[in-house]
Amino acid sequence: MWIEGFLTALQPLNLLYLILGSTFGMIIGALPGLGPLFGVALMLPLTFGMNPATAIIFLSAVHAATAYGDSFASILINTPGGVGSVASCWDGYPMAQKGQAGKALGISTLGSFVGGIIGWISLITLSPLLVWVALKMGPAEYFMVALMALSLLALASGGQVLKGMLLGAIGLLLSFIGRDPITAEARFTLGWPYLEDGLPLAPVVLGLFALSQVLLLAAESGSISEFRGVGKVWEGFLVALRLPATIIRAGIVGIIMGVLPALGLSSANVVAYFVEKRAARDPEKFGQGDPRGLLAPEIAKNACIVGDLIPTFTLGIPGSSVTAIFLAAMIMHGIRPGVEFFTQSGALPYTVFAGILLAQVAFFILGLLFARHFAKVVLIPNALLAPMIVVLSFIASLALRGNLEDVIVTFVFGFIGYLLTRYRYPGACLVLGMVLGDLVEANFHRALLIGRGSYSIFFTRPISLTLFLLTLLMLCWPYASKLGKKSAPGKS
Amino acid sequence: MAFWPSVLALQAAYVCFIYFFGFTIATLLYLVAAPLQLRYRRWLIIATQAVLLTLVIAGAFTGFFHVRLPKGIFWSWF
Repeated sequence: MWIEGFLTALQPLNLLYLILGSTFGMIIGALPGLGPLFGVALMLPLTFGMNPATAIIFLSAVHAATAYGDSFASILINTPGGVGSVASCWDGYPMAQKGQAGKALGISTLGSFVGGIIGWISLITLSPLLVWVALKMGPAEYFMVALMALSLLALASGGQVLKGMLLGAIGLLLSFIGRDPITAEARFTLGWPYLEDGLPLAPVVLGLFALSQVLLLAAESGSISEFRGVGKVWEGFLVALRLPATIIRAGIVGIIMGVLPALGLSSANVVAYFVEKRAARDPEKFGQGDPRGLLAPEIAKNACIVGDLIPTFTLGIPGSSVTAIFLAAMIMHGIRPGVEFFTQSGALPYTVFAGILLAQVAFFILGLLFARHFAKVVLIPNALLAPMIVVLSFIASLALRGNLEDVIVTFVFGFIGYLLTRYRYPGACLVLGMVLGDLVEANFHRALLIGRGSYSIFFTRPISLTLFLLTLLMLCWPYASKLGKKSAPGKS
Repeated sequence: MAFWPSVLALQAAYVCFIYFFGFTIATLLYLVAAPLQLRYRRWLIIATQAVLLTLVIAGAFTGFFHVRLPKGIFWSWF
């Protein structure tokens, strides 16, 4: 079956669509703010005339390449290519500023490729087990997962713990704007219908990280990179290959985030970054162009997007909005997701899986060929680049829903982002609070409803209790290890 | 190079212009005004960038991505 699947996926027509999908995906991904959701949704109508396998292979190529291309804008102009590559800015951009844009893109290219392969291996081997675990997770467990991720706030603050916690809390409060997840009652909307759907994450992120960047660039002459060169892409490969522990850690984070519905691309890269920072012996280097801070989110992002397909294919449950489009595409082409997909579709699942693997290879090769040319963006004078970032940020905000209000949100958060940067407040904490807010609130209320108002539901279910204890352990570990060092013989 | 409130003010003006005159005209004007505000004086490069970027972005997003760009309320008055 596997050989048949690969032979079908390697047919000239499929290869052509694979390359086309990867090219479109990379271009769309490279535009600030436009991520896999936009890319896959945009390409869906083009698959109408294709046969099922070609259609899924084409969409897989767009999906993988858009997620990869997202990092270009993050690394080169400190503007998140999409919500899935916010964390790539934090160490990618400082590398670009140091004249290592090529190296950073090399790390991103190899990281995305390795992440995709890790996700693919998990897709074909761990699917049944991961789906079993995911099915055991209820609202109480999801709340505990979100709580565990929130415990990373102190780390995300980069030493400014109080400021970080404050921004995290504001992020949580901002995520409460809109309809109550249980009662659907509109809250904190100030009577503005636009806010009934909540504050949209993409325009907020574009403002916080892209527009604020413009105000900073405008204050400096010259270009982003102080150096005339951009470094070599292959150097990034060597750096990435020397970090196997980072690859493993980020791969695990990506798979877990991918396979659990509702946790997804927006959380995977941020959580992987902070997990890596927590694991590092020298966390103070993060944020200053540390390759680990770029490799971890890149791997997690691509492992997550492939892992995201596991519940879609095996259960017919989309883990995110992107996979919901995949599900729609499958149904549109007469494929029934779930157990029947594997038992009654002949070699089709194997063709699709082979196509997903080839999609990773396709964007990797395209990245090898073109990443160096993209890297030259950092040499454009700030006076020309800054207005381009503004225009691209505004059109990205417009493209998502066609609302001018989204542009206003981007503008307002651009100013807020500038003030945060200027007064050294960690904007990442605000995003972390916003990303996790929905998950925390909705699952907290659902769990309480299931537990008939009793908080014991969080501590009587084995997985939930384990996650709670792990969170406590993570919070106490730095203090415990300090105490351990002090009490160790021979140390004061 | 430029005082940040003036850069912010130009961005605010750009948003207002999108609302009144539509995305294409507002973008063309902004791409000319912003480099000048940042004291860039190579006119040919400014003009080429403004025209090309506006055409490519507006063309690609409306023609290829099927995004409805604001046309501006000013034109609806005539």
